[in-house]
Amino acid sequence: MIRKIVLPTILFLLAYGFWISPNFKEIAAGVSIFLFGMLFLEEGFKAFTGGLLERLLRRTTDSTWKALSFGVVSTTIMQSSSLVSVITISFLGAGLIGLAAGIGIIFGANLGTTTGAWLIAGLGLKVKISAYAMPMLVFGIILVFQKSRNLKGFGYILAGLGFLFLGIHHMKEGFEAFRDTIDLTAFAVAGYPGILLFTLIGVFATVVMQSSHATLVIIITALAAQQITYENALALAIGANIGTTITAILGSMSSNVQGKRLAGAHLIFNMVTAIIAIIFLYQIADGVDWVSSVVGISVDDYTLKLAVFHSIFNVIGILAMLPFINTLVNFLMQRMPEKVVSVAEPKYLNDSVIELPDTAIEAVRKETLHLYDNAFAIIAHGLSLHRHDILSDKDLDEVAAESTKVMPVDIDAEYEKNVKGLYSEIVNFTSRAQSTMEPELADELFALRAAGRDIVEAIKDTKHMHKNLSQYIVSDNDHIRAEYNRIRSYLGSVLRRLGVVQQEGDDPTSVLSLDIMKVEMEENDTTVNGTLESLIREESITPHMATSLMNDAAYAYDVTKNLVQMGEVLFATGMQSMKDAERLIALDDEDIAEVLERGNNPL
Amino acid sequence: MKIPKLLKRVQEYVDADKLKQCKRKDCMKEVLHKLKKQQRALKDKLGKEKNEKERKRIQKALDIIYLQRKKGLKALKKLQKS
Repeated sequence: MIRKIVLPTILFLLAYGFWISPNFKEIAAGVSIFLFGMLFLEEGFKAFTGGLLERLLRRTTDSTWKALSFGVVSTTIMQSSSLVSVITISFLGAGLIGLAAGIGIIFGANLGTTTGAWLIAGLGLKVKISAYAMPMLVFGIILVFQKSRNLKGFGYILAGLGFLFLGIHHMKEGFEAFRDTIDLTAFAVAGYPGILLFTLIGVFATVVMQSSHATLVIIITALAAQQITYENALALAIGANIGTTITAILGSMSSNVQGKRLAGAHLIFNMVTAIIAIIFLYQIADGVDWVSSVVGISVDDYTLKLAVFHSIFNVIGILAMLPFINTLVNFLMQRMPEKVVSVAEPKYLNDSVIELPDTAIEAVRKETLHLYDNAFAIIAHGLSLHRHDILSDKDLDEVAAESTKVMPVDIDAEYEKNVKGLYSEIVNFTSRAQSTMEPELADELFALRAAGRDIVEAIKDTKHMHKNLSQYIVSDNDHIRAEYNRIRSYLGSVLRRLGVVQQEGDDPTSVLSLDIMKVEMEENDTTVNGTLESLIREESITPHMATSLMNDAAYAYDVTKNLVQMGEVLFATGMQSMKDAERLIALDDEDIAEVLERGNNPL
Repeated sequence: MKIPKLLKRVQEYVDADKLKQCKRKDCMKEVLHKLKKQQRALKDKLGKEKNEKERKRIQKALDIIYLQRKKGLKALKKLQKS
């Protein structure tokens, strides 16, 4: 009931807010554009998973120090720690890096962002990245419409960054009214109460302006105009450091739990750093004076001293937190566990049948069939084929050639949602049920469990194939496109024939007809290898394409093999003696070789 | 357990095994019979078929059924002997 009214209430409140306040409308639109940019960014990074970016990131972030350096360098270049943390959340969301590496980058980003203070204080410069939003969007969207997967991915990233900047810009615009009301002179307080108050003001100002750099500009201006004391300025800088995490928290809203963990790590790091800085503020200020005198900064140059302070307190934070990275990772993993969203609940397995061997076996068989139905959808969509086309009488070669649109399917997510939980339940149930069974029946249960494993293997093979397949079925090269369409059509026919065998379950010879598929599987493998040879010889495809095709043909072979093995067990119905007879007669590898050898010579 | 009771249990066990063997033989016979029917149907089809590609496909199916029946008959003989 509450769930039903939450969304309409939120929509109504937003609509009311838009009506009474144009500023609120601008801020909300800014947040929406920002989140939309995040989605684009993740989509873009996904295009590069398994490829160059993954390798590059893995190499540059495989140790804490490397991840830290990566954070420092990228933030120095981009001049925005918020943006680096948002991008890192995207990396994590796309599974490109691990949580520990992500935390390392965030730590580095905190240090990298202090270069901004130096630039503002020392040179009066600031790289204004929001000015690039419009061109980025235009170039990004043009690239999104390109056929090449890499260009498309790059386009998504560019457009995503453009939307992020645009979103931040709108948020800033919307907060313009609030910014005018921030008058620091009104709050000048001495001692620790002043420090705490100014820290809070720093947090608020940065949340409002979405940029710790902007807060720093205000601090430096106020300090130069002597509106605030030096201590208060330091407290504001500490607050700005906490406030900047809001962007990461916003960014993690559209990300998965990994992204949320990273945003949590960012907040914890900045909070701990802030607490240390507040407690030891006067000691750190003395340190700043010492460093300033060493590097030749004059005693009254408070703006540069602020930059020194910013760097020192972030270095202290890193030094204090680095030894605890793993503890932090464990803490976040415990506090934010991965939710297993399983819509695939077991339909047939329940404790009431576990004591009845025959019923238990039939329940496991039906549940594994249920598993196969879910897997069927994943495999079909992984091949960018519709289930209804596979199950129809349509010519699959034509279907594959005509359906050139890549189906957007996240095989990992589908597997987690529709297969993993169900498969675990089957394994658990069989283990419990077999303990009370006589050996012969327990063997049948093991065979069914193996069929479940075959299904899972087939999905994993499809996943491996999916990346290249999605790329090559829209390729400009006719030869590679035709070869990948052949794989799709062939696997589609495998699924179709398995469907027929499943329907004819009562006829004991229907399972034996799977032997034809075993023979064809070998023939197909030989044909693919022959075609591949000639395509390479005639230079119709690049060596890169050839390797992909070679690997994917092997995956297609494995998918077929696993599915046929599964069908032999799962589609055999009737009494145990009949199943045993079918299995005795079914052809083994030696028999298949014999059939292939005989070729066209009639027996 | 007394000797006659034990013997009775053993007899029951042996009979159960016999029953299973009988079932297995019957099942094997049934499968072989169905395969034989399929084989005949395919041979008739092959005789009428003109399309070379289709003929090859039928021939392959026949080769497979031939091997399946060969294996089945061998297994049946074993079952009959035991």
